[in-house]
Amino acid sequence: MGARILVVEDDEALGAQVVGHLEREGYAVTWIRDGLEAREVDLTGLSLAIVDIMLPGVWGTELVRLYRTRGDLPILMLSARQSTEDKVNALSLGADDYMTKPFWPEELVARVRARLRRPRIEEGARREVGPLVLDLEAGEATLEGARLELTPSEHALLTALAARAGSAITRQALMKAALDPERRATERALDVHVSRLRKKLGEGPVKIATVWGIGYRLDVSRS
Amino acid sequence: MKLRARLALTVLLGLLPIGVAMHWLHGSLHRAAFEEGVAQAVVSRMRAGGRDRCEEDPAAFGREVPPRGRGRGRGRRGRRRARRGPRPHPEAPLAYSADLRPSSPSTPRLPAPIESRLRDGAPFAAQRLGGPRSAILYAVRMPWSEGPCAVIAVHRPAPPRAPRPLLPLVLLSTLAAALAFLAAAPVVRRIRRLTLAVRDSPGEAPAKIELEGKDEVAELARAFDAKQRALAEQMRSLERRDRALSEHLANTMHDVMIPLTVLEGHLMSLRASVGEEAASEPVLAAAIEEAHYIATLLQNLDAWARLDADEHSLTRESVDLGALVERVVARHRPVARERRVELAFAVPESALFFRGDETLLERAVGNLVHNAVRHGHVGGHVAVVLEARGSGFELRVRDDGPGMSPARAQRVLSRGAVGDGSRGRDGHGLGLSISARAARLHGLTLEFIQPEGGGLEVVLRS
Repeated sequence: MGARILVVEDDEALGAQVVGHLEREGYAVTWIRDGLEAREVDLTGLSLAIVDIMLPGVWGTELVRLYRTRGDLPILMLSARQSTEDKVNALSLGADDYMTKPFWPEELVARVRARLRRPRIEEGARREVGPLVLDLEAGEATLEGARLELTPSEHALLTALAARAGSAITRQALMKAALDPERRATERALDVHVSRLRKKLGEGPVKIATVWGIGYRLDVSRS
Repeated sequence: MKLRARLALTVLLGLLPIGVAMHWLHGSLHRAAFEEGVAQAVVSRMRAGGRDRCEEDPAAFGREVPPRGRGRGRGRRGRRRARRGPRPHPEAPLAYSADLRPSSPSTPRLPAPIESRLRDGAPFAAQRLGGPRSAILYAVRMPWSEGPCAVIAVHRPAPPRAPRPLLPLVLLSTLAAALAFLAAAPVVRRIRRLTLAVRDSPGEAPAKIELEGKDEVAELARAFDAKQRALAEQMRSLERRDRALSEHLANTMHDVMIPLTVLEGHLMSLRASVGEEAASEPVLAAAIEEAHYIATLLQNLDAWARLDADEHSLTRESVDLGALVERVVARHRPVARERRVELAFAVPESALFFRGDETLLERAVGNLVHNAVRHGHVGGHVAVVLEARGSGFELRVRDDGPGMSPARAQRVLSRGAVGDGSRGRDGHGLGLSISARAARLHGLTLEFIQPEGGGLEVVLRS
């Protein structure tokens, strides 16, 4: 069972949808419709609270203030109000995030994941990204236990990509991070290093994707 | 020109012409009195025996020099003169009939102006015979109209100058102007006090404008006070209405956004249950796009209304631009997916902060991405790149769609841009106009570039 999430939302249709989306993602959800009832809920064991700003009986911001007195439970506020003042007010009262309606279900799920994300494993000079393990000190890398024979530039490039696996990185940023500045690194040189790295990574779970208009991205499939 | 100076000048300019007119009038009256006197003297002398002598011999009338009184001129010289006969007088009176015919052949005709006046019925007429100080010919109608001596003309030296009051009048005018200048001082002081009171009175909560007295200035002060209070009350009323409208708009938006969120959720659920090969897939894709468009339009309308209400009341805070870009991309990813547009982003590894209004900035960036996704080709690409530039940042939204003409780009960058056919239905360019306006308010530059290879790149830069 995944993390436990409290949802405080008075609208039946919206509440049902939010609960449905979260449960499909594997989260255990407690749904409370009334603001006054939400004041009395036991927060023990909860990983996150999603609170609507306009509730019958009490303002969502009051709940935020109340929950803050009881601990540091992460709180994501939902609101249809579009002004920055409302957002600043909610965050100043203790909310951790503020999401305006309307939103796609995947937006909400992404925000919830971000709040509940476990930190990437980084112990000292060792970086682990799925089946890829990089030893930053020794300059070595293994993929699914097998050693990868990499040049220093290739190792630096793979390290830069792995540091932000799943995110696109611009060519300029990669050149700056991975290539020798004394050698007047060019985009052409970068492309050559990427091409060689792709060959060494093979057709396995770790791939370097070209991102149009940006640069490259390290994708790790976790199947 | 100040009031006192204007008043003094007005008095001076008013009195001077009056003085000049009085001076002229005085001269005229003096001259008229002199002429009247001459006429009466001539009539008197004619009545006192002059008529008889004239009618007796008009040609000789007045040419003899009367004796110089008793015992005078009767010496040897006088007796010689008497034996020679009467001496012709150089300015002897001249006699004329009632119809102005000379009474003797040697008598010259009267000058035409004199004749004209006499024929018009004037009892006498005069004419200067030369320069300003030359003698004057006076022609006087006698009380009788028959005989050769009905009109008598005499020569007289120019009358003495009339006294000249011009200088005293000028001095008097100047004195009057000075008095007016001084007399206006208390009034001007009161007006200045009123001006200061009005100027120093704050608009929102006007202070009472008080000025003692019962004159027109005090009345003006009371009128000002009443008017500014009425205006302040009107302003407060408008502000209350404005707040009520804003609250109403916010509540309405809240009421609309909830069902819209539910609709988007249902569409995504439907999407998950319908494969891409299903017949309803294009309809579903269109529904998802339209729902997204409606949401964007409503948010833009709300943003525009807020900006119109008070674009100077931005709430500035430290904005994590990388997180902002992530949120924007997440918001547009479902629609990009439906259009098979590859939507990617890149942000710096370290957080990049900018002090601004987060909601407005997110709306601005969101509109750029929305336009790139919505108006790009199906199967195209959109890239959002955020990079640090010195102490600032540069955010680029690039697509490989149809691009935008420089003229259209210029219209967008000016206020109130209107959409045209090349970008399709886009709410009259509202989204890009908001982006341009947000950039201006934050001191950012917004640039439209047509990159090599086509498409459009929009750059937001600090």
